[in-house]
Amino acid sequence: MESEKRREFICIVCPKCCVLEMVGDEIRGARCERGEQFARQEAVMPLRVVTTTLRCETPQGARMLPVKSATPVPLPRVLDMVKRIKELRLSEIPPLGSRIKLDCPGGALELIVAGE
Amino acid sequence: MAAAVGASGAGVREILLLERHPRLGGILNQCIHLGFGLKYFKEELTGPEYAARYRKILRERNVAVKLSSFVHRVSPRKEVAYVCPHGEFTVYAPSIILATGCRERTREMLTVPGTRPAGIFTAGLAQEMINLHGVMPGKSAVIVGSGDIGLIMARRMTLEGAKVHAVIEVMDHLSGLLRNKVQCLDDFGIPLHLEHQLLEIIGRDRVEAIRYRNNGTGKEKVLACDTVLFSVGLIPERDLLLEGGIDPGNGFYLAGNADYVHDLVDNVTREAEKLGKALAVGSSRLDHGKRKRVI
Repeated sequence: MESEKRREFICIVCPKCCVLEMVGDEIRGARCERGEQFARQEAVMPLRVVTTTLRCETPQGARMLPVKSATPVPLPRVLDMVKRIKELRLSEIPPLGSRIKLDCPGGALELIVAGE
Repeated sequence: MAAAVGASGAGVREILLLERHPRLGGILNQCIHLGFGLKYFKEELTGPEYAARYRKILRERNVAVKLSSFVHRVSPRKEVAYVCPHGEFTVYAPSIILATGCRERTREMLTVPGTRPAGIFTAGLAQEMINLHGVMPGKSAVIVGSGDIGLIMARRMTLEGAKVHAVIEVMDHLSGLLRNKVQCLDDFGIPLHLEHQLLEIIGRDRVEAIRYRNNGTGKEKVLACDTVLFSVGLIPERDLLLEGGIDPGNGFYLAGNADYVHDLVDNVTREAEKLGKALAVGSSRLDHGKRKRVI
């Protein structure tokens, strides 16, 4: 008899931390739509939003600016992306919510300024 | 901020918000990761984004804000003394809310044997160093305690190029949120050792290693590292009341993590808004010429 593949995930969509069980195409334990989507995505390729800081060297002094990726990126790429973002230097502090595009190993990355 | 917004919305006319830092938002400003605002703003935000959004709400209210103003004394007669770049001042307010947050439990509070070399930090201090000042606390770290800040910092240190060997936790369960174990430890292959106890910090000038024990098997191990981060609990900061010999109540109130440790900032905001509102209702029955709320 062929048994269906069973996988378990902890949902990271919200602080409820639902335990999701995926048997074949069916998902159990999700308390919302987003949790179900999370499990489906996680089974294929985990995606994460990158959050880090980049250095702004302004005439007033150096400051770290919080940024996040505009879209979730494949988990295996996260470390390289952060490395690339670290190399970046801005000479002014862009306003909250503005977008920064940069080339990354494995494709372009768009960042959103996530602090002021 | 939320207590001031709540009070202002309920009709308190004179509100003074005193903040020791040059900007409002407190610890949110250094929490650059996502996970804030799902409940309050219905959107997942970083800490600085959450703080910025709430500052905007505050700006639309009639609240006097004094930055770089450090409150150093609160008296039972409701005088609040603070220092700021313009000098030292004292204000009177019938209602005083302390929204002073928490302090982190330190290595000293745990009585961990060993030497006292450089390289020992609380997780929140390491977070401030990296995220606000762009300074790395070390290259090869062990995290003691599995609180949320410790888990977040395990990931943060890894992203910044450090090697995080393990998170060791003396209890038999995780103390932070499960989602933080998944996205901070599992994502980067950082092991979590439950029922493991830190026995000794080794090192002369700089941390060189730690000695720890698996309390399940009794087996001891020495692990080389140059940094130890402690994430072993938060303690509500109420020293201003303690030093003034004041009990909460009778016009003295605690908001947010100064009251008790919250998991979510969204709850802090809601509760503090409610507190501010409640004070407005209470104080409108009083006939004070001057009504000020100091936070």
